[in-house]
Amino acid sequence: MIKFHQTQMLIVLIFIFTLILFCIYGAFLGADRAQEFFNSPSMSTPWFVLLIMLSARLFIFLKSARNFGLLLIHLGCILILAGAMYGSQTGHLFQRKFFQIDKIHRGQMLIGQGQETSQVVLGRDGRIGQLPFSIKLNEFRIEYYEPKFLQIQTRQGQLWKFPIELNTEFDLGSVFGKVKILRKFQNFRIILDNNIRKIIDSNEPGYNPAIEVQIEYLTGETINQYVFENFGGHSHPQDKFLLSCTGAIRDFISDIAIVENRNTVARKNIEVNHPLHYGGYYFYQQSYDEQGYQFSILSVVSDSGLSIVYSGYLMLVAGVFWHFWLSSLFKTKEKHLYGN
Amino acid sequence: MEIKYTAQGLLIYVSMAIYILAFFFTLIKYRKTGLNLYVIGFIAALCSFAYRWHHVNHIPMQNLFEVFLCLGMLYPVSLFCDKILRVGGYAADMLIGVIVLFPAGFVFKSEPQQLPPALQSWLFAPHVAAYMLSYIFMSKAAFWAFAHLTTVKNTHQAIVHQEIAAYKMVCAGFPLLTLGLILGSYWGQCAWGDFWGWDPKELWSLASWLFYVGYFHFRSMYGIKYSRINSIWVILGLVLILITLLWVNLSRLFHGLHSYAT
Ligand code: HEM
Repeated sequence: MIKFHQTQMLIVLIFIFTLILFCIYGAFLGADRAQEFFNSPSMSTPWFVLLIMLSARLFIFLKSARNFGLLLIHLGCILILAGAMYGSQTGHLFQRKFFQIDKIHRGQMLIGQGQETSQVVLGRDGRIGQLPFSIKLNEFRIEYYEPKFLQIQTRQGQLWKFPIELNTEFDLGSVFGKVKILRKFQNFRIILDNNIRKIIDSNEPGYNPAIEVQIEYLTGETINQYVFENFGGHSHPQDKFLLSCTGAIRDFISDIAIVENRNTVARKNIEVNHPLHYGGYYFYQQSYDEQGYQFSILSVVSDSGLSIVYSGYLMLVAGVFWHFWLSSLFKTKEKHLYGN
Repeated sequence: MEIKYTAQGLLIYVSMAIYILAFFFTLIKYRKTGLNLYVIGFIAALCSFAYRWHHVNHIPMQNLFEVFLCLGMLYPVSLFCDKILRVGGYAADMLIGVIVLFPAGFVFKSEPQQLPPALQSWLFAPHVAAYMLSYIFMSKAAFWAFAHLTTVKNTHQAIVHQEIAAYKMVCAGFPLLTLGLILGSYWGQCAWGDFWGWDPKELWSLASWLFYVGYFHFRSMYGIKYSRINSIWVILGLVLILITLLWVNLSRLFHGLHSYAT
């Protein structure tokens, strides 16, 4: 029996070490290639062997009912692996074949403001899938930490940072002069009005924030300059200063509605860290139109297997605290510390 | 590397200096003085944390600077280990105190930082805190393991005591390590839609976690029969943790989602 136990443990140890080596190898590959590696067909055998070893172990635990904490730990690991496999790309093929569940594994949706779509771009090759409902983007917006700042830098690297307040004069010291912010734009546009170029803050869709800055040199000479938030760092070689205007981004928000048979069935702001869960999918804020903020890109991820993984997480955490803290560390008898 | 000429910086450097002094006194066998200094150093670290709290107006646990600042107050952990778990090691803790305050004092920027969207989550603080706390236990474990390996002339009893102290520390730290890993994974699901992204930092942390799993299986099989191997295992575990914590961030070898953690 002891012999059997030792052989079994040796196999487990070898297996754990192999996994560690795979992890380290994967770390050198980088996330994308590591993902490919761990999901490749040749890795499916090791994953299955691990699952079966753990399950066999569980069976022995169940028979001997030796330790509740250890049972939870190993059962947790089984659920995590099983859930992850069920929710993987291969898992989705499996669902389609055996359970007739036809779900998109993951993809992206590009939705224009005010538009509605149920199309999901599946992979890099541009294949398209359909959701059984559609998503309407009411509005996409970016929120900034306030206040935004005007940054002024000399060619020698001296730097000033002023909050953007209209008509307040800021001092650039005894060498350079003064600076003032004259005007703020939400959506800077140049239009032709009777062949005269006019600069306006447009009400049309779009987002091109800018400010008009006046610099007054010590010589009394003044220059006016526009500084754009979306296009930082433009300058001419003759300029004394580099001007930029920034606000740190606080959040990306897509205000969307789920539309099923022409009825709006749900509405939510999707933000980073706050996805929407609906109809077996999670929707995440992934990207956006960096120029005009006219569209938003959501990533769509199937929730298959996720609840299994989460139950595994709960069991694993409960198990380790139970086993190591409650029933080992605080036990008064110390015999177990010496091992078998 | 930057020196902070601020009240915050001063408080950090004072705590570090007192910890070093405490360690020195403990080393030359003035244990009582050492311990008293350790408590004073703890109070200085406490002040530094409170000052930060006042300065930024929220619990300072939002970036690595603040987390290391928080770890500098590790006296309660020493007390807990000594009184409840009956594992001493104050001298090691003083050194660990200096080591964790070092990045706060010299590496990370202390400007109150605006969090990028991905970091604005309730999971941020518990995820990092669980990891850091477990790292403290694992460092204490490695100190005991090191003592075990380097003690030459001593009774069998004393050597066994050291190995068991290391084991107890790993037992204390492992659940926290697991919790940190799982909170991180859950957070990944909330933020990116992936509970596992195969990112280098994730893979290194999984490797260190599995390494301790291996340790437990080995030790559950052989107990203290091969006690030196147990101790080597514990020290290598800390090496893996250090790689997870530092190398991935500081080297440009790996590109991944966690790069904003630097
Ligand atoms: C490859 C799959 C695994 C197998 C076949 C396996 C098997 C075993 C065996 C045979 C034992 C000894 C129990 C006894 O003495 O009755 C054990 C204990 C243990 N296993 Fe696993 N295990 C596996 C994976 C894991 C994983 C992934 C964890 C993660 C936490 C884990 C955590 C533990 C712990 C904490 C113990 C107790 C060690 C102790 O007594 O301190 N095992 N396992």
